[in-house]
Amino acid sequence: MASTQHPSNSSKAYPGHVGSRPRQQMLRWVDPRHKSAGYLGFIFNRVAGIGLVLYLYMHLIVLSTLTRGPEAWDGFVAFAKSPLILAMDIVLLAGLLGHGLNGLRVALVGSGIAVKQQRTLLNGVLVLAGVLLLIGGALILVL
Amino acid sequence: MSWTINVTIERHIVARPVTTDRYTVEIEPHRNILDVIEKIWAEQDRTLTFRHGCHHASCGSCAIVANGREVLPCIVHVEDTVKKDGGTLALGPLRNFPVIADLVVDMEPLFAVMEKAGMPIVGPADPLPGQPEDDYNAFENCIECGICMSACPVVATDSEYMGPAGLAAVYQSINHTADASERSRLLDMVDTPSGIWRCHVAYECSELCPSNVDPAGKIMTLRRMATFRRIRRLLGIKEKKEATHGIDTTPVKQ
Repeated sequence: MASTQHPSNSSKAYPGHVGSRPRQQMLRWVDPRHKSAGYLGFIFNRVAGIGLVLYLYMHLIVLSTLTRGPEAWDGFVAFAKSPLILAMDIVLLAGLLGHGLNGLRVALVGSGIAVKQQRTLLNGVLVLAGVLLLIGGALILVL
Repeated sequence: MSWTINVTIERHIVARPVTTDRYTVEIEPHRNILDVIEKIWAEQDRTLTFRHGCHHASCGSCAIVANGREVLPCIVHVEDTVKKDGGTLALGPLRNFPVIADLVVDMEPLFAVMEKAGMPIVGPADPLPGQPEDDYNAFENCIECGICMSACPVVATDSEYMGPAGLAAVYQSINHTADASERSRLLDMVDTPSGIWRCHVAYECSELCPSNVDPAGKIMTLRRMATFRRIRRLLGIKEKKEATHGIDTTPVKQ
């Protein structure tokens, strides 16, 4: 028998007590290992939600270039047409579609509607988001 | 034919740092994880602390985390978790409960919320899928194993949350009483930010429940009951048959 001490745990009478390791508990929210489909949808909505909030602030910062005149704005528009930014636009679209459609599923199920169909709804959300992402991605790259 | 598997077990001993102990065990792949634990205890380490009772998923006392998933080790086969000869089986206590020692947790938080919910220990069970309700009059489906509480991400971060087991127990209690005022009191108890509205709809509790209780489905149904009641109150409609609403109690299709 071999033994390894856990570096993150000091001696406590109840090492696993609720709230005793808040950082580890929070990290569990976004740990996808060994999780079922519903939980993965739960993780996706949280990660996408944080990403969309960060995007909102970035968007507001970008809009502030308008205050620096037309040249500054034209420069940003030229930058926005670069392949990197277009790829990021597709990631943004994926986040919006996934978060929005999965949010509708959570709102429905969370209100006691179609509870028994929650897994089917999740699959439907994935298919619909995938189709819309393909269409939207193509439009982003072509237009 | 036996497999040789590598077993790691989180060791929680009062006033000592938490450690991971490693064991090598030879065992037939069709045996249960509880057999592995008992073999280690019998042949290698008598200090290992674990809890078990019935060996057939009735008592709910042996629940642990095996390879990242909450399970009843008495009914889960080694081959279904370890997958291959030479594989690893990582065992630890349930999450979100105080650990007493090694694989044993203090179930008091669960029992406290079940008592609060007025959960009857003996009563009519939910019908099994596809079976008529009248044919069954057995123990409650919930075996109070705590797996749902351990798997729930909200319980992990909010000690005020009643948790899936407690909320499912309230649902059962509501459906077991004909007293309208008691039903209303029970619904009041869960129609709170720390009750049914705190659930984040991850459905992990229903996925892992070994007794087909479907706590998440029960929570969503309670939400519907609470929502209808609020609407009726808003419209000034007298509360009369708020307990059932024609609720179908068959579990969510997994």
